Amino acid sequence: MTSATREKELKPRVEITQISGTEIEVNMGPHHPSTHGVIRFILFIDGEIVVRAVPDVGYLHRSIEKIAESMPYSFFMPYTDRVDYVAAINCNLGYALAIEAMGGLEVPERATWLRMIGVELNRIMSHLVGVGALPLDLGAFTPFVHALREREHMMDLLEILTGTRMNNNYIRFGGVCQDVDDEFLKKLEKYLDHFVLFLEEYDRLIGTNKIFIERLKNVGIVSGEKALSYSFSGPNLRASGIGLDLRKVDPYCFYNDMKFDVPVGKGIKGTVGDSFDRYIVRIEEMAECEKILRQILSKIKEGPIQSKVPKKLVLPAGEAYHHTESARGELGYHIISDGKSASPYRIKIRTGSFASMTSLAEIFKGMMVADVIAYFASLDIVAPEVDR
Amino acid sequence: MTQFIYMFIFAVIYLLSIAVAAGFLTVVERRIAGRMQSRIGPNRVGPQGIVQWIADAVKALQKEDIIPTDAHSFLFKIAPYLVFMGVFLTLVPIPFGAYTLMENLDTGIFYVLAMASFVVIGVMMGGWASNNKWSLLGGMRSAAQMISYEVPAALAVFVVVVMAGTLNFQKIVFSQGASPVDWYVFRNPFAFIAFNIFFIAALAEGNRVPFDIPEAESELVSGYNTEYSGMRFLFFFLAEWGNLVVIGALVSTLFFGGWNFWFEYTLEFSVPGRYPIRFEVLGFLWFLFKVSIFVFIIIWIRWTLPRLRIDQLMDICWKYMVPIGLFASIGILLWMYFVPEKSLADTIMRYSMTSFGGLTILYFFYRVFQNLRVTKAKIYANPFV
Amino acid sequence: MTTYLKNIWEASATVFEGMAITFSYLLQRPITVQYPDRLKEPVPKTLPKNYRGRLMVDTELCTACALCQKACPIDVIEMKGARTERKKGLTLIYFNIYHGKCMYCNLCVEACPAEEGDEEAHHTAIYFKKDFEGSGYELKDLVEQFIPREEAIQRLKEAEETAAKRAAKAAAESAPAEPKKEGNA
Repeated sequence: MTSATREKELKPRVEITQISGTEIEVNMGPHHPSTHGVIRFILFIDGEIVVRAVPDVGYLHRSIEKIAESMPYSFFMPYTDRVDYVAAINCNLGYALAIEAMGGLEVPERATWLRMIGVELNRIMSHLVGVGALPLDLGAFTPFVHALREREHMMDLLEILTGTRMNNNYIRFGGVCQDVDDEFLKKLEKYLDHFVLFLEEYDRLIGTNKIFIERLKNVGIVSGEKALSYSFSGPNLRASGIGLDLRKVDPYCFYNDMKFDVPVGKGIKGTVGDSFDRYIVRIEEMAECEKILRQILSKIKEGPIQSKVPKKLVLPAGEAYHHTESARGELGYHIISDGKSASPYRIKIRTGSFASMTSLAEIFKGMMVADVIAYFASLDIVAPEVDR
Repeated sequence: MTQFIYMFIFAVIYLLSIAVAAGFLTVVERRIAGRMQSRIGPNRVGPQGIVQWIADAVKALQKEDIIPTDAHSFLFKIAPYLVFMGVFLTLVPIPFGAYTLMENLDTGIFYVLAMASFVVIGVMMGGWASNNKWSLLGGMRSAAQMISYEVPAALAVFVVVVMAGTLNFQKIVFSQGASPVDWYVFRNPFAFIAFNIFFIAALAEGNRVPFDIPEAESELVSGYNTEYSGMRFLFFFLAEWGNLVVIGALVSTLFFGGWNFWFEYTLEFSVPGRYPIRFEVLGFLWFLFKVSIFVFIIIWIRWTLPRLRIDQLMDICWKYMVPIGLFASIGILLWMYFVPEKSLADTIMRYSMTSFGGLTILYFFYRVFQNLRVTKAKIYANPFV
Repeated sequence: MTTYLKNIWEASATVFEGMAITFSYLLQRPITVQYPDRLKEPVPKTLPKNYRGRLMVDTELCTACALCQKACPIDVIEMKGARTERKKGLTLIYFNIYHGKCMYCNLCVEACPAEEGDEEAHHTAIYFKKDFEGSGYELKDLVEQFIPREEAIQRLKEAEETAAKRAAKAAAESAPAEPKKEGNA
């Protein structure tokens, strides 16, 4: 593409001030096929063009943070599943690491490896939903079902690892809830061989499709600077060209022993930080997860899976913030303990989806209605993670 | 009077058979979609689910017929029938066999293009009368889309009209032959281009993926038919699937030789007060086969591609299809002038185009099996599970 | 002009490729199964060992220690143990599980100290069965009483009698102390 045409494409389609005529106020959501749960936008549209948009959150608020204050630390673990049900073990891990750091609890080596298996599998599953729902919102149903089919295979694996398919509640303070045998590891390795083939096929099915690319390139461009100002994190930030991955920058578990690349958006089809970059970054990240899983499989050793943890856990007075790289960006748990009771004084959860939501009002301006859907889907927002 | 009664009976038979075909297609589409998505699809009602559509229809009939309070009730009520009518009237001049057609209109193509426009009125009417902003958006989108795509469709049909020298469908079919070299699509490159343009434009006029933006499930909820329920919704539904038959029939008549078959086998029924009714079996079945191939392709496209954005849709129409259509229609005039039929150049072109088509299909199956090999999938060709 | 032709070529080539892939799925076996009547073997048999299906309790094994009740974040378990003359230690008086509330978090199973059950099926008194088909038409269908109501009433009576006897015994031993009444649910 020549620079002149690129400049032309980068220009907003309409100058907002030039719009004449009446605006229609349409209500997209909370019950709408492509708002991924219950998120609502109030769109002021002129024809097909959005003049102004007001995102509205809170329809899925379950006051999870408040619930935490009324129960012992260990009881809150199943609730963290529900923060982001698409990547439940990721949320478990963030909470467990925060508490362990605060209480100085030991974690056996095998437990950490098992945690990493769970987390990376869950990250792939979550990205599969993300890259599957994107073509679904653009009108292609089949890629979505293919992605969910692979997710289903992974759920079968998680079923062996954790005992449940979703909302796993797998991680405990100082360990994990159950061990696996070598048969599972073999199954996982066999599945990964299949997964690589699937990923390649999926890219040929939809990722190279001309219509798909045309729908996504140069749509919803978030530059690196803008992304930081919106406090984006995770794949959305990396798609904007900033290679910040907490697994590299602030390693936890055994991530500093792992060899993996951090895929960043390069604007291969349009501009850095457009919707297609967000798609391709997720695809590449799944391939990286697959590499990490293979390394874990080669390094995992036998051993205990649970360390000694006091029955009634009372954390020392003070506060701690621990962040992990979840599938949807930085997942941080800020825990305040008063040092006396067995339940936290306050827990604040920082989630990636909520940060992504902040960009909507600004980016939606001047977009077409179809682009609104494409941009929103490319952010891979999960409604419960926004509201908690 | 007898004439009228006969016409009425035939019209009812025609309508019913197309309605049944449309209903049956919904099941077929769902089964095909299922297999493409590693699912099974509906297979419980009747053997392999073939009467699922009756169950669906009965369910829809039992639903409450909701008319929104602020809707324009008269327009809201008649809109589905207009859409339905527009689709089914287009079938009148299309020959399904040597003797199987409703009316041998001399202005056949003109009539079809005119009747297809009825759909736009119905869709817009439904969208506007629903008093729902999403429906209105859907209706407006569809008006823009359908009217635009009539231009390339007409240009593509023009190529065929020039080649056949007539607007009469039956005569167009007569001027083609049974074997692929005699089909218009493989006569010359311009006709091939015209076929592609017509097929894409027909998809767009029928609101099929990738041009289903008037319905755009994930954007406009369901577009112009959001507020419809029960039987009225079913009429939109029937029209949509009836449209598949229409597109398939039009494409096979105009470009793929229609009902022309190498052999002939005619049944004759004597009817009091009229000429004996003749029914040409082999040609009819051959035509149905061609139609079902195209219906399959349309369904298959739907379950593969994402949908376009409205400005891209317009780009494709006005920047790509209309200029190319103009190019093809000028090209065909020059071709007809310089290359007379049955000349050497004409014969060479026919055979090379046919082999080009055949090679494309072969390459396609090579890609299919290549994909099966690359993904290490096990082949299970049985269509029934 | 080149971009123009390139666009057309790219569009047709990628659509062609995508359609080849979807067609190849027509030649593959669907991966879904026809639940529940056309399965090769029942689903519970295919589930892994520690699958968390419905929460169950082995009333024979249960020592009525109430640790599971305390471990549950959402009060799914409603149980009571008291002394009767049936056996040494606590007797289970009633044990109800509210399946509608349960979130299958495994915390109660981990808390259970009675670990001598059947290794194959379960090894704790409270355990997850592999059965997952527990839907009911009403909310009250989702409450499972592991000790039937009549039996529970009977046991409660026995427990009260025992408590009364013990109180009397205690009163006989140390007269001034006020007898402590135990449990009346």
